[in-house]
Amino acid sequence: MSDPADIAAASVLPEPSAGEPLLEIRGLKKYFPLTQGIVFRKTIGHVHAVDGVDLTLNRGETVGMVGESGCGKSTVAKLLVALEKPTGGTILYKGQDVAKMGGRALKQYRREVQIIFQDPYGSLNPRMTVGDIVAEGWSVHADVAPRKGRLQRTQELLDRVGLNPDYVNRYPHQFSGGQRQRIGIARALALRPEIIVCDEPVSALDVSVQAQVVNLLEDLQDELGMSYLFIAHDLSVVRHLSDRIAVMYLGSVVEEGTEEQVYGSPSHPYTQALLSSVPLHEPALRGQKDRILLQGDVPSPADPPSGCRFRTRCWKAQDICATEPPALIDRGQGHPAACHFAEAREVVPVDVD
Amino acid sequence: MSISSGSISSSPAPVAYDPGSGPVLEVDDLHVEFRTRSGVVSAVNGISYSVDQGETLAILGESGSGKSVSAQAIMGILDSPPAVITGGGIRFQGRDMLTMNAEDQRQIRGPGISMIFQDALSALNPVYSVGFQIGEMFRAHRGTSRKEAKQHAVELMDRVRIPAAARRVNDYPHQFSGGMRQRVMIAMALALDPRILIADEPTTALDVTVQAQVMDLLKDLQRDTGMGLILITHDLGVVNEVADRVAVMYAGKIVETGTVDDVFTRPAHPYTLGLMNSIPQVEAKGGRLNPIVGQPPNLAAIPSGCSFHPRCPRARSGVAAAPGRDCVGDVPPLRLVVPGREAACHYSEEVLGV
Amino acid sequence: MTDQQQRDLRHDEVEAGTQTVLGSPSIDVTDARQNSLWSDAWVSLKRNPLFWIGAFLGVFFVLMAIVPQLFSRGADPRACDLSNSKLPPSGAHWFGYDQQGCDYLANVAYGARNSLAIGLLSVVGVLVLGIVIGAMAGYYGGFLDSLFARVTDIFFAIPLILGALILLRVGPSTGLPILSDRGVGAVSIALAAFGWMTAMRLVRSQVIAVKSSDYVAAARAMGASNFRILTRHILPNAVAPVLVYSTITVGVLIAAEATLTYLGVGLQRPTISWGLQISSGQSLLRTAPHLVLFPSNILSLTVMAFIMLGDALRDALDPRQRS
Repeated sequence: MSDPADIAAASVLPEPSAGEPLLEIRGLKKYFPLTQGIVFRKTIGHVHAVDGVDLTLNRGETVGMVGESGCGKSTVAKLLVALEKPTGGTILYKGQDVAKMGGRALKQYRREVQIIFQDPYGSLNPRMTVGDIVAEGWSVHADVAPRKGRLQRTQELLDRVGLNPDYVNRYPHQFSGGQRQRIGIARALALRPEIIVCDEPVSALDVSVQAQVVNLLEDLQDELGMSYLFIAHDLSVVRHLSDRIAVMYLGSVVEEGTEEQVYGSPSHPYTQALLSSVPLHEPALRGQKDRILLQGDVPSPADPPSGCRFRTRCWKAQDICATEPPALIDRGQGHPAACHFAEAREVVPVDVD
Repeated sequence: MSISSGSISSSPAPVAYDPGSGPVLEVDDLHVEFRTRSGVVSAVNGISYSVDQGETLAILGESGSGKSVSAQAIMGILDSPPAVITGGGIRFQGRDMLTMNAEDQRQIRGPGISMIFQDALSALNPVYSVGFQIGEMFRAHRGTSRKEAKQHAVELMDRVRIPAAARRVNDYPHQFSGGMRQRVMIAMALALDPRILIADEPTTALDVTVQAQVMDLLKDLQRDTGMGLILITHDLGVVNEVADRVAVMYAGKIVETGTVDDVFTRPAHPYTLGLMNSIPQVEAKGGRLNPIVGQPPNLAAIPSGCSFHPRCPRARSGVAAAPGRDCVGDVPPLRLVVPGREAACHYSEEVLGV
Repeated sequence: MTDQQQRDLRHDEVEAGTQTVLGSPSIDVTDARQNSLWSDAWVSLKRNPLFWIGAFLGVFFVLMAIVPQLFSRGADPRACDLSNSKLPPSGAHWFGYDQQGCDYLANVAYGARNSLAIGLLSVVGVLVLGIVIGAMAGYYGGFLDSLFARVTDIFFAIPLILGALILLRVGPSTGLPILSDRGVGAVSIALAAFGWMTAMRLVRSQVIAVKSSDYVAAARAMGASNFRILTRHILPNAVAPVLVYSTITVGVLIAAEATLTYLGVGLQRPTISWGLQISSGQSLLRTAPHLVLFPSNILSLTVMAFIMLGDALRDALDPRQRS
């Protein structure tokens, strides 16, 4: 960091002392109003998209967030990159409350926290060249890269993410899905972020290409040391990449732990059902795992059930579940789960070899 | 008109299954091209498969492999133009569907073969109630009265385990969740007791917990009706859990077929092997993934010889290749490698290690 | 998912991997210069024959508007001789004579200026109003959107001709600088004031569609300003339909000018315009069809030129349409 501009910028957000988490989310809430009427809108209710999420992200760490559609994981991503304002709770980045950041500090935050989107078709402006897309961040944060040599740096970035550097003048539609996702990664890297929020970055890709992108993300982390918040519904990809995992259901985290704890001894009934639903691709393991078929669908987040959110589909539900929301605490399984009747259970068979 | 459940009336060519007459559906050397402004795209280049009664055949492939195109050809729903069937045959109970007239084809599609799609929301008409849409099948094919059609619709909705079917029969598609909509689609497809059900990525748009429910339902229904199921998917896990046999497609061709157990435990084609290696496992963390290098091929310019050769770690050409087995120059035929297994690779034996 | 995305997806399904055999390697040669949308658009425009035909016709008529004497073959549009009234075309007088016995070719040539000026000025007005109001309504949404949408509905309820007619009628009594003399300016303002709504709706719906796309979210997450997001991301992706619409509108507006003139509130004689010529020729269609034929054909050619230019421009501004 010899660049004077960098030092000036760095002073806005102090470096956290060793051991302090890079990012801390406490009680994060986001309600979207449901409105009626065209000219005079009146609010008739709220969608509880995110309802009390706690999460910690340390430097160089990957935290996975899994859950099904509508569980609020993508809203968490949007809140983290300040695309939405939280209804409640705090996001502390390097010890500072993001909601209270203004002007320079917020700009700095936006540089240091980047996002990669799921849809490789929709996330790149079809009317901009790849070079412009990757370099756009430098027009906003001019201090990151001096005007001269930006083209060269763009090409270096393209090369780094595995694209031909000569392709700077091509347009997104000339690339395949996997290549476009690499462009999105290059755009995020251009600003030298501390955290990259990956919102389902490989879900839209073909299996053979998925693995390429997963490897690329891993390599980049080894090389540059940034942290990932990896959001996905694909449990195997999340397990592969993550150090710690949070399982979300209907706006809140129901279980959290290291990948080994969550996958090896899932304690929340929802986690167990989720793991049991993943089809395994090895014939030898077919029929060896627990079959837990959940009944029904996820309730509407506009009208979540009282008490435990999962009780309407849970086979363990009792009276207490309807009245008292279970806290996310360790009930003797070695890691926290938000269930009154948490109980470790092996769902996925251990590898045969 | 007197109609009772299950009776077939006013149908000039009743579709009755005749056991013992071989496979219910055979696709034979089918070729499909898309003639677009920017050139000819060969989507399907000579694929053959057959489905028996009660059997589940999975067609596994990535986007652009042409896996859905053959199904669309069977159902006669190819966009044409640009799509043109340039060769081959599709035989349903021994009769070639491509040469029969439109009315005969219509008699097969519905009572004989039906299909469910990935996107249930866009496959259902938003302005009609689901009961009406399910009943439509009876009215159109059997001339059932409105009232009876609705009764049948309720029965079918019960069969696909839609809770409170009698109450929900008048609801509209947007009032159902994704999983329930897919059930409505399945109910419509099952209305006329088809011999073959084609499921084109039926669970791709669904969450895993709901996917498990729907796949379970499909399996149960198949067991009850004895229909053949063609499952088109890119998900190796779904194939493993549901299918009996699998055909792996790449660049418009079948590169490997066999039972799921055989193909998944010991792939005979480098592409299948690559696929198996590139998925992380949920049951173990594992090390680095081994992806297939490169990008899927351009169907407008399929590589010469073996279309997988630019991405294949075993590809050899020139002096390194055995005579007649040059991966760049010679097209590998789909050949019997070991009993019950076919693969289109010059060096399958090496891949298998036999 | 927008239609475009779905088409793209389909494109990828069918032509997956087209990128590997991309036709023109020249664009990859990097001479320390980065292409922009506009420079690439120009390169692609240059290759489009439609653009050249449109451009040729466009330049031809614009030239006619600027220096009509070059096209009138030496005749003075106001040197009339009643004895020549309604004479058909001849070798010496290609377009014949009008009712007053003036050389019609000279009249048509001199009419280009006013007609084109009205067409272009009012379309610029339509574009400015449509894009500004539409972009604000679509981008900011909420109350502003509701307000603008209602205002647009009110304007939609007033027919173009009726609105312009009333405005031009009351114009002289207002004493406002341009509006009070029924010239080109007044007619253009009147037409733009009652013709911008479709453009606004087009821009608004496009902006709303583009606004929710991930690339806009990406730019916002990066800290890009509203101005930057609007000008770099939203408008380039939202204006294409309105550009095409506006090229067609040029013709509609030139024709509307003719109608206003016919109703007696547009340009007044002795001003010369195609609209005036067509409207006065209409009553003589039986006896002297050439009086309608020539100005209306020239008008059609002009409109066609603009449509072709608009079409070429739309293709050039959409990288997905190129090669």
